[in-house]
Amino acid sequence: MEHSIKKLNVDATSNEKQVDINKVHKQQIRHVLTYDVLRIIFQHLSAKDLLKVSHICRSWRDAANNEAASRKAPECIFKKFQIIDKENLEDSYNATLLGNELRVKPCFGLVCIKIQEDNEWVLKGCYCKNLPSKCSTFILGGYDITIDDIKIENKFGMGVCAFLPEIPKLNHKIFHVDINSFKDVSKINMKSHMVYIIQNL
Amino acid sequence: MTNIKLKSSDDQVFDVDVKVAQCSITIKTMLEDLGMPEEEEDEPIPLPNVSGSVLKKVLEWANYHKDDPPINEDENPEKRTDDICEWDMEFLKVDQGTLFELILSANYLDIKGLLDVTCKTVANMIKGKTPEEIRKTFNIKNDFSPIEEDQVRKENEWCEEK
Repeated sequence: MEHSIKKLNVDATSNEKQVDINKVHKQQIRHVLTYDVLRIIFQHLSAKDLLKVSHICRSWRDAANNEAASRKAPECIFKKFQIIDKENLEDSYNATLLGNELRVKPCFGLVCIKIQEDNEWVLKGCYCKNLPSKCSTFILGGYDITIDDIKIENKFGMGVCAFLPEIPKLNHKIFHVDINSFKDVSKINMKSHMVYIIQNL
Repeated sequence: MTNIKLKSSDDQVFDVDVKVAQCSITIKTMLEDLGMPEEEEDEPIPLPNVSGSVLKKVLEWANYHKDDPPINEDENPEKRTDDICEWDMEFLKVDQGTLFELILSANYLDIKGLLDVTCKTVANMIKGKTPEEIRKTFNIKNDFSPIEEDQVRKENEWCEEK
């Protein structure tokens, strides 16, 4: 279906101040953006804008839906998180704009943030607004962030996020791991520990 | 320097440097298939889908960008729209009709760079607007039936989430 050319009628007379009659006549030639061109334009839109343009008319909806369907890869972002409130670590990282930037509608997110060594990390520090309500997002705090074997040096608030798009027939399950089960984890083999968790899902 | 002749839909003939004309893959392929023109009196290449006024703009763009390195898709997977160069921004300060004609011509002539920058410009016109504002900007009629409208609204719930 993608190859069928769907036409969108767009009247070019957007300039109301136009006085030159010849020019007005010339501009009234109806211009059409073909399906192929709409697809190229929509490549540049975020997932949110893509949903918005599917609201415009039938031809835009079809192009927008097909563009959205073509985006199935997980998305990774490296960005600076704002520190809202140093006193209250629970809300300390502002990832508010994440949802507006994403190119996929996410169903699962993982955010890794570098924390200062003298601050005790609070697990409730997730503050990702503007994400779909069904998107579970987890924030992991660590003392270092390494990308492609390069350590991101000492920049408080830098984070790496990974988001999974909605994939049909794929579900995720959230489970609780007793913090006590991680005590003495250094003494035992980490791999067998993970196997134990997976077996008990 | 070899020149070739291009003929627009309204029979305007443009004498163009081959290097500029070959920014268009469509023309480049045509020249490869037909062979380079040997005589000055050779027939101009007809471009029935492009009007003279638009072809003039396209050639102006191609002349400025003729020495650009080829676009590498893999290098820019993020599809940024804030990287339009100043010359292009000035060049694209045109009415919407002309902008759309440039897009369609760039698509027909297969000029990747021009198609890219014009589509980015339209994407920027869409960003940050409400659906109603977008319809007004592009003068589009909402042709959804009430049932379809409802369906789209349901799928759109994410947009309204704060």
